[in-house]
Amino acid sequence: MPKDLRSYLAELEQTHPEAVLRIKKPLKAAFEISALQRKLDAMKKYPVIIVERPILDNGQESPFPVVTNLTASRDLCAEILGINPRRVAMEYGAKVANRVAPVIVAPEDAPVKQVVERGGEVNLLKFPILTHNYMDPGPYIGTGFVTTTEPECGIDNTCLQRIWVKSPRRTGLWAAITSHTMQNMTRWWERGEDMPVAVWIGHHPAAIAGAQSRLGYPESHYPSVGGVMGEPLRLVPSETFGDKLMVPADAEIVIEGYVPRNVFEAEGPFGEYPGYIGPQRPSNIIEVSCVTYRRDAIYHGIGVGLADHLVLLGNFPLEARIYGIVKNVLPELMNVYVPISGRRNHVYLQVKKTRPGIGKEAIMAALPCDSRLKHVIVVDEDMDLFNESDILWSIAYRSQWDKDLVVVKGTAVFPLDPSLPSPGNIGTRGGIDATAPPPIAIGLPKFYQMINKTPDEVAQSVQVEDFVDPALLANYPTSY
Amino acid sequence: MEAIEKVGTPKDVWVTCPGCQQLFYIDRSFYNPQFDKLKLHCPFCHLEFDKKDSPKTWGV
Repeated sequence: MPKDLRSYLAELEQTHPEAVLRIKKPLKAAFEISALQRKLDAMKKYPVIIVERPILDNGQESPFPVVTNLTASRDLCAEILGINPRRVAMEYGAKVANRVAPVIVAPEDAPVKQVVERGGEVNLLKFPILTHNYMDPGPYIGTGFVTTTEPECGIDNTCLQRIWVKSPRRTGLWAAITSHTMQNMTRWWERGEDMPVAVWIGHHPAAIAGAQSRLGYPESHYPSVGGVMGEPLRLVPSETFGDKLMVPADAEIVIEGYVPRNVFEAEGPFGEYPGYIGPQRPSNIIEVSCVTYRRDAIYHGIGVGLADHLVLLGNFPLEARIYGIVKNVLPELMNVYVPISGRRNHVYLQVKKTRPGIGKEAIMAALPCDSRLKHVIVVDEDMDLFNESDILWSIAYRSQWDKDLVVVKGTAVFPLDPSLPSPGNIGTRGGIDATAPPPIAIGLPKFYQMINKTPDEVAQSVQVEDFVDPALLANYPTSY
Repeated sequence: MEAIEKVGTPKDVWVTCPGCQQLFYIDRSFYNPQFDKLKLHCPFCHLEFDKKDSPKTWGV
């Protein structure tokens, strides 16, 4: 059986039943599902949530269940991909690099073609599409993988983009000016043509991870999906565009249509991944020509701006991209971590500080890797890169801001940052070298004050479980 | 329209819906000639309106 969303959910419920939260009570697609997800996120609890009885905006119960929080847990996401959650930078990158060509199947072998609706039959509002934040103007597809092509060479591109469902057959589509979707759109429009588009929703998380890989342009994401899934992605011709625009056969839902030339409408406000509600913007639209879906389709929603939106969908690809580029110029780079807290604007780099200058070199190498990257913090190998207390401790006691801060003004950054001056997307990026001085010679220790430490033999002999009842341990007061 | 000196962040323009009187904010690109005629969409009551009809506007 090919990998798909339902095969993953079945496997997860078998292997990790504790990681699945099935909601049998009705929950509204507008705000209520997001509210539950947000509250769990605030508790740092990330089960995969399956809402069996979502309620549509018209008050009717949807026959299509919702799954969300699919990509929120770092440990689960790494397990899905078969990689170590502390070595995502290296191991996810290796999977993306190991391209596996897709295969084409006949429409009768494509589950996503079980139901085909065209023209006036289409009603996107029958799907339980989530409305997330209080200022959102309506339901938004947050997990729509937008596939388009470069019109000259025909190479496809896939990109996760927000889609406001405005009416049964019309949506908004906002693509950042630097996105490959926007580059394709510009080229179609320069030819005087509307841009064909297909939006696919719901697939195996490994397929999603591959689709989110950061690639060059024009470069198809489908072979990367195969690399991450460990098997070829099954493709099928779209209904509207045939083999000119191929779509995943094992998706849950595919929406097809056109982005009409020079048509703009107001879009948003919309609460995005930075955790802020971005302003209403002039934006493109999609005129929907066709929708295909499984008879018992599962709608994949997302916790916009929560861990679900960040971990697999943004942080993993960023870690791999930064590691690949920086390691090329700085072999002393040991690891990369993009934390949830920085919401794609922060990256932590760990280096082996063998000589002076490595900290600042790492910052200089990392900053151009991605326009989302705003602040780089470099720490030593003795810090736990995945423990933010260690990162802040390094800044506190291994840096002097007049010497260790790097500030680069006037660079392009991602536009969804409310601290940016207006207009445009030009801002300030930088980093802090929070590493201790290197040893003055090979074989010598760093002549830097030593970290507090119990003598090794005593630490070995005094074990918590010899003195503390494990049942009581979890209930002792914590601190922060 | 009553225009008020910008307050707080200058990044966005804050408008008031002439229908429900709720505040929301828009990108400055709505003032570019290409988009100057685009209707705004109130996210609360879904009224579509010209930005010149916003009873109060901040940050222009």
